[in-house]
Amino acid sequence: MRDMPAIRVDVLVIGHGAAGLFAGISLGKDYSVAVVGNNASATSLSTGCISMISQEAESRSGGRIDLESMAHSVHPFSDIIERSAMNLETLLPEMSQLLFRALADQGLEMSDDLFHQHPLLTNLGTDYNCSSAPAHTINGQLDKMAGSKLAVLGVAGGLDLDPDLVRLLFDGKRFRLRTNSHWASIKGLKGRRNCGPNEIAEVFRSEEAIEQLIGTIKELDEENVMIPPLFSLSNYASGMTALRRKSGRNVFEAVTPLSLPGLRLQGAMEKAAQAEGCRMLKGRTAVELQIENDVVTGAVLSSRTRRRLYHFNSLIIATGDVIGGGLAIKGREIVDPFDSLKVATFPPRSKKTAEPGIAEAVEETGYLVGNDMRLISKNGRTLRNAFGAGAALAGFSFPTGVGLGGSLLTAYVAAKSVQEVN
Amino acid sequence: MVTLRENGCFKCGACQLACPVVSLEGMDKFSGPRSLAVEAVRFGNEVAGTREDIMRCTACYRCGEVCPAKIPLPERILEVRRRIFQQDLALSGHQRIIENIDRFGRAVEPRQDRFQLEGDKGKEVLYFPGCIGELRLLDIPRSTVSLLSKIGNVSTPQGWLCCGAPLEKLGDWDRVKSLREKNLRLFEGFQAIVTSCPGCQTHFTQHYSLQALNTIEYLYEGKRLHPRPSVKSKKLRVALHQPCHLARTIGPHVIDYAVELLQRTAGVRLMEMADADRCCGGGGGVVAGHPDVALRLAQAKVRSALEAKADLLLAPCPFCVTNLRRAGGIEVKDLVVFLDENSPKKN
Repeated sequence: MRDMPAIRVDVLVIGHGAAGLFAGISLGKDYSVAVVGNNASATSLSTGCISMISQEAESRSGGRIDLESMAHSVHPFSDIIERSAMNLETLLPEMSQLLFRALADQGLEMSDDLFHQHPLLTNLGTDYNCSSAPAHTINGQLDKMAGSKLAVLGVAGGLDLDPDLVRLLFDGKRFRLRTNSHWASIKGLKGRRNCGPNEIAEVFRSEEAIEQLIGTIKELDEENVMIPPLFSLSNYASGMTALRRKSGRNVFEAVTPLSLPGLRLQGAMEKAAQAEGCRMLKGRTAVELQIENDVVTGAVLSSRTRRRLYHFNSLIIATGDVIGGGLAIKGREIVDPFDSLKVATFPPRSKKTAEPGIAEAVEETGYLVGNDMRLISKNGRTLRNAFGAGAALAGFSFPTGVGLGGSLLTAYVAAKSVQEVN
Repeated sequence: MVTLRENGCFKCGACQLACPVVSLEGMDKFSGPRSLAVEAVRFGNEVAGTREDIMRCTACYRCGEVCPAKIPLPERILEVRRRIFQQDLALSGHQRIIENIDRFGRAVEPRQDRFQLEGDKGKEVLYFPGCIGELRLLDIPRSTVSLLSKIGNVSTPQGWLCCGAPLEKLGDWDRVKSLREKNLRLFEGFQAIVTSCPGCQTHFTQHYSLQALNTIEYLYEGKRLHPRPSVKSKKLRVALHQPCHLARTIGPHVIDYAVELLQRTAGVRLMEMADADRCCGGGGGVVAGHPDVALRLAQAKVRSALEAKADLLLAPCPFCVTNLRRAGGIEVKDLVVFLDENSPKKN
């Protein structure tokens, strides 16, 4: 390992998933911001949905899933908000607007009707109609279709979404759908097989391929049509809109292994952060924090064979939970990989009778934050210039598939706190 | 030591998506890191069946970077190649590299022109030209020495041999070790080792346990590079390709230096190129083993540079420069050569 000369930025954000990037998007205009990431964000592997809140909170909120109900119900966030000078009434619309605008500029647009239906709910990462994600709050989409007919349309030559398999999985049992499987033959894929999503996206850059698919969809009897992810970020919004408008069907994307949605959201957020002036420091991992008198003065970033010390005025840690690689496991304990910050477990959201298993511990354990999302040092002192965001925080590591809304909200509040002190 | 038995793969497909060869060629042409480094190797010694396929990997290290389970995929691929090599299964283009090294101590055959550093300047800075610099792209070592000489006394020991990096990619570890022993004896006593080849630099770091510096690092930290003020009013639009061995094995902090040096160079406008760190196809023995694959990767990179509206494509790596030039369509230059051209000729 070789040390390179130290360097200074206004704000260092560690973590380049949804939380880290949104913190960057919120601050990039006003400060010099560097966002550090190891190139394997959990966001890029996720369903890419920006939906909100747990199933339980959803039922508590009477089925209405939005940021507001989340902010009020998820411990410890409601406490933080109550103690801080922030006002949810203004915070939430502000945050949504910033998010929508930043992503729309990068090609992920949201339809108006959705906005009016749920003013604070979006899952722009894929599309409102994404489906078959694991235990996703939005996969109520399939429940809404109950009793109707669903066509699962595979693309011949593509690896993603085998319609015959999906038909077997869906038919009758869970979703009460009448499902049929179909294959579309697209000229650009003729004679090819096992094409991955990047190659498929390449083929569907052409108008001709899209028109051909529209023709196939029009011939189907079913009103709902599930397709594999076909478009990359560059023509995602226009492609999906064309498929829906021109075919007159409810066309939606499935989320399956080897899909594009998480990557697409990741790409849009990275571009948005850069558009706001953030520097992306990819391929790097923060390995050490330097703390003096309750102030974090520096972070050492390691990149393979080189290390470089970064100084900053403010630090945001958004490294993700244990599954995302932000926290470490030592024996049976979940620990802070920097060995500097306080890690805590928040009470489970349902009453527990037994010791939590590892799966529950993963969900409930994370960095402890105090007022204004300030991180706490391992000896219990509130840090003056370091803030936490996203799934790295105790109480914010939602089960896989619940969506990225919570991460975005905490990131926005952390960014607000940075603005307060600088 | 890389073992092939351990397995943490949960089939997320991130490596397959990130692989530049899979995305360009399709999975029916190149089965990809997961298939080669995780699935195929479960069958122990029957790795021979992957011979053609695995030699399409450019050893760009991208898969290892995106793997959320942190499986050392690139290292595993190299381990599979070692096992294939043990069964005498080298491709013909690779056989030629081995013959060159046995005959000339270089990965490529010498021609009339060859870079030579005259005079003995003591044991201050060891400059390692590498095979491609010494025998093919002579402007790289010339520019490097011209720039390094402003900071220190530069010399190259007589009798140096290929660092061994190309052989590592082919799986020929016996030769790798023999070259290393001979070179290390010549390297003794030097205060610093500098090279303009990220392939050599990576190999010295990983397999010689030496802290070799890239010329870019030496120049940046030496603070002696004062680019010549530009007289032209129109700025030259350049794109910077990020070689895999700098961006991913030595580490992207060095790329930050390169970007900063370019930004300081008068008359230069650095263009934002999409996927600047995507492999150009120049590494991993693919140019020799599957030249068609290497060419298509280079063409994709040139397209990115043209889309970025660049007039000049810079790459701080002799392997990248060589392969990118095969694609044509844009002028390609080594970064060090460009920096030398844009700095004053006298101290």
